[in-house]
Order: sequence, then structure tokens, then C-alpha cells
Amino acid sequence: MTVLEVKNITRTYRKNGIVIPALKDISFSLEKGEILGIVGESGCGKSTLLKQIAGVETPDAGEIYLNGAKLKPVCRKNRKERYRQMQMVFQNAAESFNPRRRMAASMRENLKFLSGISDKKEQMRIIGFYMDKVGLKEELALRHPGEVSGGQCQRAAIARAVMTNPDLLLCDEITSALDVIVQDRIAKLIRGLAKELDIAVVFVSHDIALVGSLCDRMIVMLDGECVEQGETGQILAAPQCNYTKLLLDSVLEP
Amino acid sequence: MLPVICWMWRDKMSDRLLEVTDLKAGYEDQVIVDGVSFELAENEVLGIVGESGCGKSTLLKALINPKEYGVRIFDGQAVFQGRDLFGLSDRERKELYGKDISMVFQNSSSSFHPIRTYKKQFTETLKSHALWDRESSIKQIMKTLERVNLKDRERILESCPYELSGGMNQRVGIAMAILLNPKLFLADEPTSALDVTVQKQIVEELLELHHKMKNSMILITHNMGVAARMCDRIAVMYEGKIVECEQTQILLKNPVHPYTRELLAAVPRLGRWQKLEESE
Repeated sequence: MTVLEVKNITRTYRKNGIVIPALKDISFSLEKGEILGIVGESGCGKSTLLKQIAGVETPDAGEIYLNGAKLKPVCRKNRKERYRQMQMVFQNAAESFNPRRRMAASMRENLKFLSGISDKKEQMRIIGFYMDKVGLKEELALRHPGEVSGGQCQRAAIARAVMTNPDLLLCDEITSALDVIVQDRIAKLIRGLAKELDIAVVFVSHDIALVGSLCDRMIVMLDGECVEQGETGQILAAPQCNYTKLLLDSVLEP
Repeated sequence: MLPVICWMWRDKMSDRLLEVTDLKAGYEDQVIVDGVSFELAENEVLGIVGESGCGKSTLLKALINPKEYGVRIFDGQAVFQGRDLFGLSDRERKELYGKDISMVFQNSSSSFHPIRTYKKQFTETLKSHALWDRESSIKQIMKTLERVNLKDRERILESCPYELSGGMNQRVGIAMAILLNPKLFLADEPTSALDVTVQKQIVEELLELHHKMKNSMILITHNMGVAARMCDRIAVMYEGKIVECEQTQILLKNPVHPYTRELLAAVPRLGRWQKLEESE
């Protein structure tokens, strides 16, 4: 079943009369339980693409379909529906929690707003279940985001995102601020969750080695254009585009 | 074969450039670097790898200028060519650093003056070491910029740090560091803020420079790939201690310490999961 379909989206920024084409005619689709990696260097438009899907910005041209329905700009009426279907995780997890409140408070808010569960006991049970799923102790949810390590906070953010059973998970450079050992664990966690809960994942990263080791399919972007897309195995074995070859050559493996 | 390598290695170790013994350093009462000892031979590249918070940057700060960074030395010695680095006066330190020991950091553009042209800043370095010469110095600067593969050198000299890209700034930073032909070159995550393609270029350029200039280098990085490509020896740091220090090839093939094994296993390798799932 197709969860996300992006058709020919284009986005251009205009500033002081200078036209910056950030996305040029991007199309792809994503099935349930599939992980799609978007890889490229800084400034290639990968975060812009994610912003269009999340509804933070509206593309100039082209359509995005989520579960078969065309996405409209987010407003008060449709945002509940939208974020029930899609959740985001960001690079700096600590900043995506309210620093003055316990992490559980933010998770309960999510459960109440998106899943309509307002019984506290039930909320805490679900929180405990998903904290366990991401490999954290339940008590950690009662801490403030500043009181846990970066990796733990990122796991909590992932737990919060999958708690409301979304169909689509958007990950924007979620492991870039973490150490390699933690990065490895988080990547394994994302893969496990996607397969177990049947969530479609868009995984944006600048690290082609990570994307190449984690994702089922990948898109290589350069200057707002999609220069190559396909099965990860195929791209790694026989890259067609020169830029993909350059990226793969730049990977330093010990 | 093995005895030959050992002999070569020992021969290399005989001309020690830097010797750090049992260094304990930290901030206020907290010990971050806990009893680190290592030696650096001439013409050797030593990599120090580890995760954030393991004390690798504190170690480097202690070697560069403990007072300025607020690093406290509890115990230990660092001897560079027979001189104790912790016993230097400010004046001696100024003479030594920049000329014999130089540094490059993760974000070179922020270690320069933001709104001064590079020309002025290069000139200042030469003048402060009393090496400024009206005729030959600009040529020397140009030659150094050429060594780090910078094109359009005149424009670069007339620009300020914010006008150049990250990769170019990093190259200028390296150029500044090698301007006076230092014997010891300290690099703290020199490629971590860069895109992968630029990272690869800078790594190759640093290696080429090292082969040409025959200086010693301490490279601090969290990226095992970069360390494997550049270093002769790799020291793995964990919680303030060096848990394993071995020649690169040996360390990569036969990691002894469990932490080293974990670190190496966690490095993302292309297509690893696909292979795992096929084998299952």
C-alpha cells in the first residue's frame, strides 16, 4: 500500500530579487514498512523536501498524496488529522521537547491530542510500552530533556513519534549529533520499528554510508535535483550518476 | 616480515619529538584526562579517536595552552624536543607555538578574525614571529596557499572568512598552520564540519602535505575512516584513558579492547543490513 506519493514538486525561494530554485521536479512514492533514504550534501534541498511533506511550507508546483489524499496546507482544522498520520523526529531531540517539563508530559499531550486518550493511567501504560520498545526504562520519561543523554533523548523522541501509530515517520538527520556507537543503535532501532510497526520512513541524512546500510531505497540529491533513485543495493553496486560515484568514493571506511 | 616491521618501528621511535607521560588534566576539580602517556616520533601521524566526552579535546587543549582554555594540569609531563611544555613562560610559548607547533581546528573560520582580510592575518602571523619581509613574504604566503590546492589566491587573500565556503576556510586554516613549517601539527577534528566529498579532498591533501613536509601530526577525530586513512598509529581513548594504542593496520585487523571492537563494529558500512538479512 502506498503511503506517500510525491509528484513533480518544485519549490523556489525568492529573496531580494534573487531566485533560488531549492527543489526541481522531485517525484517518488513510498510503501508501508519501507525506508527511503534521501542523501546529499548541505544545501542540496533535502530538508526543504521534508518541509514540503511535513506541510510547514507549500510547494510552488506539484502534489503530495498521503494515504491517497492530496495534502493541503496545514491549518487548525486539518492538523490533527495530518499529524496523526505523520510524525517527525529532528536532529536535536532535546530541543524538540519543552525544557521545563518532563518528557512524559509532551508524550501525554501527543496521546491526548492525536489519539484521544485522556485517561492518565492508560497514557502512562502506552508510554511505558513504547519506552520499552525503544530500549529505555519507563522512569526516564519522567525526567526533563536536559537530564538525559543525547542518545536517550533521541530515543524518547522516537518513542513519542511512534506512540500515536503514524503511517509515515520523517527523520531529519536524527543521528548527526550522536556518536557512532549510539548512531548504530538508533539506526537499528529505526529499521526494527519500521518493519515491526509497518511504518513508512523517510530518512534524511548527509551520510551515504549510513543511508546505504539502513535504507531499502534511496534518492541522491544535488542542487535541488534528484540525480538518482532506486533500490539501495542496485545503486551501491552500479551507480549510474557521476555524483553518486563521487559520493561513494568519498566514503572512508576503516 | 614481522621482525623487520618491529625494527623499523623502533628505529622510528628513536627520534622522539613529543613525549607525554602520565598526564592528568581536567577542569577545576574534575579529572577528564586520566593518566595518558604516549610518544610521537618524527614524521609520524598519531590518531586519537574516541567518542564525545572521552577527553580527546581536553588532552589537546592541555598540550596547546592550558591556561587559556582553563584546563588544569594535575600531574604529568609533556616534553617537546627536550622542553617541558607545561613549564614555558608566556613569551617562550608565543615563540614556540605557531612556529614549531601549530594547530588547526574543526571550524577554522571562527579561529580567524571575522572582519579582517586574510592578507592582514597572514601578515600578522609572520610579523609576530619577526619573519616579515616586504618582498618575499607575500610570495611565501601565495606558495603556502598553493600547497593546499587553493585557486584564485589573490581574491582569497583580499577576502574575509565569512566570504568563503567552509571547505575553503578550512584550507586557509591549514595553510596558516603550515605557513612556518611546523615540526608538530595538531589537528582537532579538521574535517568533521565538512561535506563528505570535501572531507575526502581535505584528508588527501593533508596526507600529501604530510608526505612533502615530513612533519609529525596528532589528529583528533571521532571518524574511524578518517583515522584509518591518515594515521600511522591510532590511540583509542575511553573515559579519559588510552585503552589501546597500536599501529593502524594491526588495530583495525585485531582490535584487542572490547571498546575498540564496539567502535569499529558501529561504523556504518555500505549495504551491511542487506547482507545481514540475506544471511539470516
